[in-house]
Amino acid sequence: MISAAYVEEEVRDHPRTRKLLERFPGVPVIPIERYGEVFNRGAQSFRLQKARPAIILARKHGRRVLTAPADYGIGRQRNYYFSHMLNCVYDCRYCFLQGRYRSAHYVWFVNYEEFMADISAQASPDSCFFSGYDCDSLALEPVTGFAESFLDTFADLPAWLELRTKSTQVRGLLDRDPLANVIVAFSFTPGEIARLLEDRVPSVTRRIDAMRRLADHGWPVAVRFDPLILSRDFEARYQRLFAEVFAAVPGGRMHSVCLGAFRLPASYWQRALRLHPDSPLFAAQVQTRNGVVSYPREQETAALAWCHSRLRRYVEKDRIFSLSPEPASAG
Amino acid sequence: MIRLVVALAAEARPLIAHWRMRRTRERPWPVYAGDNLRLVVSGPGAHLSAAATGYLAAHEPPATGDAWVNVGVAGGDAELGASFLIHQVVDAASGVRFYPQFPFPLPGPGARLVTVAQPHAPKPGDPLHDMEGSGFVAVAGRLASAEMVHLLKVVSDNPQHHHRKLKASDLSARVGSATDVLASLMASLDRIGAELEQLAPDTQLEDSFTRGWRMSSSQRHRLRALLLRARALRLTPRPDQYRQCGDAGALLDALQSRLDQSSPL
Repeated sequence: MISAAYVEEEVRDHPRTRKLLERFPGVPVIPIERYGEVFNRGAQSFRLQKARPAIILARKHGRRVLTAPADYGIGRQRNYYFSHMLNCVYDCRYCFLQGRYRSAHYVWFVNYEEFMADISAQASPDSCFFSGYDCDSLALEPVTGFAESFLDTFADLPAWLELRTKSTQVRGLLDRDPLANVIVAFSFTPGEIARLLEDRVPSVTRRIDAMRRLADHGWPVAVRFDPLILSRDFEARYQRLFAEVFAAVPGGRMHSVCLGAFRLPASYWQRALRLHPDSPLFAAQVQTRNGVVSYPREQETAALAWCHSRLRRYVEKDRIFSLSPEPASAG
Repeated sequence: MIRLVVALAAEARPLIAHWRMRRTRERPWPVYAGDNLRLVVSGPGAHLSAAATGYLAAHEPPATGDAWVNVGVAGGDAELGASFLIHQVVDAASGVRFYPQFPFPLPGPGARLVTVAQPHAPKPGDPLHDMEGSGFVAVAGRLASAEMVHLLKVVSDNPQHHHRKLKASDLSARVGSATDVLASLMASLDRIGAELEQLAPDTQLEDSFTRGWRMSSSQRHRLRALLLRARALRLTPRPDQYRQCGDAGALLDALQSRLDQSSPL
């Protein structure tokens, strides 16, 4: 699963480092000083590395918990995000990570306890912490034990946590009692789009099944239709998707539904285009507005309005949120 | 194409023979050519390796998918004749490091390499050391992405066997023993090189349009973007389809209009 392990000297003896290296005994272990010397250097190919990524074990210094953009949220006043990992096991053509990072290697920050201390210091009843911005929250759970570790913290906090995922790695969650303040949010595009643009991602059907099992177990679940991808038969495809999703978990049991327009910063778009010039995503008619590439405004507005109106058939209005014009997160 | 940079003639000899290369240039550095293969004999030391790498690039400008491999002997606490692919190169003088990337299974074990100015007798526990690696990567790392820059080192001396006893024939034998590993590495590099080539813009198609219409720099950029988009739509526009367009602006608008009518998904 991983081709090599780059290990910062500082975390060489960290228990999570040791556990990972025991799990992958044959993997070359390469000592480094700081993760940036591998991860941030120029002249490397995200596309080529994606075929066989390495893992970089590091300590996150500096600001570990960041304020979310002003209009990003699911009903709480104070919104934060944090990333225990950079990059994702999946390879979605529309994902901003391929434009954001030069390397496709996974950077895993093993100093969870420092993240948890920072989160605890900022947690309040009106706050929400988003974990799936730079990675999928659950896809590497068997390796990282991220949810397993952080849920114990959130069990004692008044704040919400959103785990954003496209994975079906829910066994750990099913093995424990649900937490009312932890929302497991699944991202979807219609199956026809997912097959073309979401490489290595579990099928829509399997994701819906994982979501249903969690909901049946008592976990708050949510859906994210973000980004919306315009295509032939847009309405018919999304209508089918909505029907499938809400047949599995009725709207009344859904914590929230988020809609987000497709958008990428122009520089990310250019990088992603260079990596995948053959992808049909990059042949779409797009516009650059305020440095962000997105669909022409009229098309975008119409698509969002149609989805919003259609979702109202399943979910109450106050549970439907439109996300900000920031890039789509990884999960 | 694979471009090999080798310090000494004795190290190059088995490679030249194995891949049936012929000499195409004698000075300032000997250059050999084979099937989709070039080799330069740099001379010893990081500076000469860097210079010869640059010379090989200038002599025949590299394409997008070209790979660079430094092949040679190294000292260290390892078995004589063992070959290693290098995953970390450290310049001993400056501390600067380089990390070749392996988006393919390694055809042999990996190792760290320290590049030094003077040869020295390896001590127990020493990593591999050579005299060229950091010079090679300093230049090759600017010519290609880190996935396309590699070093293959064969152990020539270790704490039990001193380098001063090495003869040219020993060096040839050591490097010659690693041709299978090198062949495997080259096959992987050819494969990913071909993938990179496919990503490059179709310059011939671009040229076919710029020959017919005078374009400003920004119009050329727009043309390139439109042709990339056409490619993703599986369309191949031809200049003769746009003969009615009187100038470049009209051509680009017509191209864009044609693409906007197509639905990619």
